[in-house]
Amino acid sequence: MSGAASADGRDTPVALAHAPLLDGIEMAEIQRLEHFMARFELHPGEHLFSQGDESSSLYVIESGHIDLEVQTTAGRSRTIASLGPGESLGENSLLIGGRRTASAVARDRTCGWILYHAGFDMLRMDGAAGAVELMARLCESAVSRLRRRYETVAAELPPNGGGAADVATRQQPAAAAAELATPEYLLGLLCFREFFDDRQVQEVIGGSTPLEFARGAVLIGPGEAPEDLLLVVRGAVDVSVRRGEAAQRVRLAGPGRFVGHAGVIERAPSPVVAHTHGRLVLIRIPGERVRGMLRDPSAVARRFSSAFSQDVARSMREAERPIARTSSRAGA
Amino acid sequence: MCRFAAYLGEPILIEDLLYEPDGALVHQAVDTELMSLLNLGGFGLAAWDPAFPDPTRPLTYRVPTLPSFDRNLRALAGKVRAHAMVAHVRGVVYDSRESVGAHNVHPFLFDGASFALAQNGDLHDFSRMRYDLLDHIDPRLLPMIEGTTDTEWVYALVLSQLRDPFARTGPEEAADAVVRSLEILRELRARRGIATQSPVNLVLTDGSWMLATRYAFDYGWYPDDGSFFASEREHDFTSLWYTAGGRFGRREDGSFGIAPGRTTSAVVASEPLTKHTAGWFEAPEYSMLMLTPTGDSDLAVQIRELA
Repeated sequence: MSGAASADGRDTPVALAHAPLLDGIEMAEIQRLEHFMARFELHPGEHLFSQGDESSSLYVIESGHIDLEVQTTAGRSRTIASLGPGESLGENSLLIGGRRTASAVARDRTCGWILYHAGFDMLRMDGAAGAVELMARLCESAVSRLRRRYETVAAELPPNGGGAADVATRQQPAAAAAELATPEYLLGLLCFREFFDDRQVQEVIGGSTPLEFARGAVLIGPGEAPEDLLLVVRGAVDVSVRRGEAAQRVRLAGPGRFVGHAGVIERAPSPVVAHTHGRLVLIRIPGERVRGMLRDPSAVARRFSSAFSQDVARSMREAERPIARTSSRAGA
Repeated sequence: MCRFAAYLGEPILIEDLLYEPDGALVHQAVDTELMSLLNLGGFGLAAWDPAFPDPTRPLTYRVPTLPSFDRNLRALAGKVRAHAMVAHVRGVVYDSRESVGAHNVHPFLFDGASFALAQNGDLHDFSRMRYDLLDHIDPRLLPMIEGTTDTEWVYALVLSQLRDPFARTGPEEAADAVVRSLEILRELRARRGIATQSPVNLVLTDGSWMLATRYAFDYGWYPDDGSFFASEREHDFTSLWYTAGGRFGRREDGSFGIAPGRTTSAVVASEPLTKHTAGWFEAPEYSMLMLTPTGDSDLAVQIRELA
């Protein structure tokens, strides 16, 4: 926080109970959460953090609004998102490290809560009901923000053309060879690196069988609401947004990455389309299982939820990156 | 896997690319932001400037040692200006089987060739396909290959796709040669059954134009062994960044970066040279960045998609 009024000591649990993010959580749980959080207050124009800063905290807005601004080459600032009561910011850097990719500036008088890194790390593995619910809501809020980000990227596309030709087709996958998804290999995937052994991995994926697709297979079509979360095992999934005939890739999801977060969590049409980039092996994790694990206090579910939230954070960073657009197409 | 930084534009001191920014290339030899490997396999530089005698031939500096300890390089970098540069720190797996020496240091520039080439990448199982390339390389270039790296062979392959490897080459012809080379590599890999992830981020420049690719064969198919490349599964698609605008240097507020205004300068690098990344853009996966002069000292920045 630069130049802002800072935490005013210990606040009462009653004040924290007014945070929209904690609506409905029992008072005893809120009193416990209060030990992990502190309050912040900002005047209009004050910075919560600046682009390029080292990051160490997550912020939850109780009242007021925060604009997220990025600096352009020309030295000007461009607002890429505005956040209001109940929304959080800063969790990407807590989950996946790195520096702040945008500046956060109070648009009006704004107050809320700070969750420091150490507290966040404790809460995300905590099985207590309040912590589980808070982490689930933060994850859902991040998924909602990811959807909005994708919609913004799509809205900025030229309405007629400018994207890649749609050559993907529907394909029937085959069962993948066992050696392509051995327990040892799966345990080494990015999303399972906080797991202890392959039994925990199996607990997450259940009886899902690895499937193999050829290049150019449609995985999520325009406007589809995916029933399953896709876990990339080998190869990559091309995830793009569309506006009419125009398309832009927002991420290339490699091994250990998930595809279909927003559609599965919100049980709504996906804001993206997805197809295989080359030969691909994936595992389908039923959406119901994913939604259940977000609020499941078991140790395995906590690890999965943490991995899922990290993947949402990575996806957001990829969608926010100042990526250049291609102007023509060559061979190779 | 390595790191490179390349510059084209208004003349700057070599130290402005190698030492001055807080994430400068020399720092990246031992402290990168976007990769885990230290780059201990040598340092190389090619630099062009109209004030040099025979300005089409660059100043070259290639040593198999760490640039962090190189007092000669540090002194040189503070005294010499250039309007185009490509610099490279070589990352090699920590294994006694690796060949570390001046012969394997990038950028490569054969006698008589008009452009230099460096790479941040690795063709997996290259030893199995190395000699398949003989059919695609101009015989005049073969005796010039001194080292053992895939990059030097790729350089010879790209030159061999030109009408004349020893003539001045425009950016369009060089871009076509790169595309054709990637196609040949893909065909040869398929013939040998090599289907493991292999990034090929190339940078090429003759001092007047610059090309850079962000490309990988078989992205997401890691080897099933305990090698460094198996652990690469934790990292994203090999990165490539650029910034373009006015002069690249220290600003009035003390920060380092590109000045706003007409595009007269550009930096292309494996990762941003400044910790504060405002003004840096990530090149898309499967793309080729082209920097070409447009007259009036301006540069055109174009990005082509590579299928």
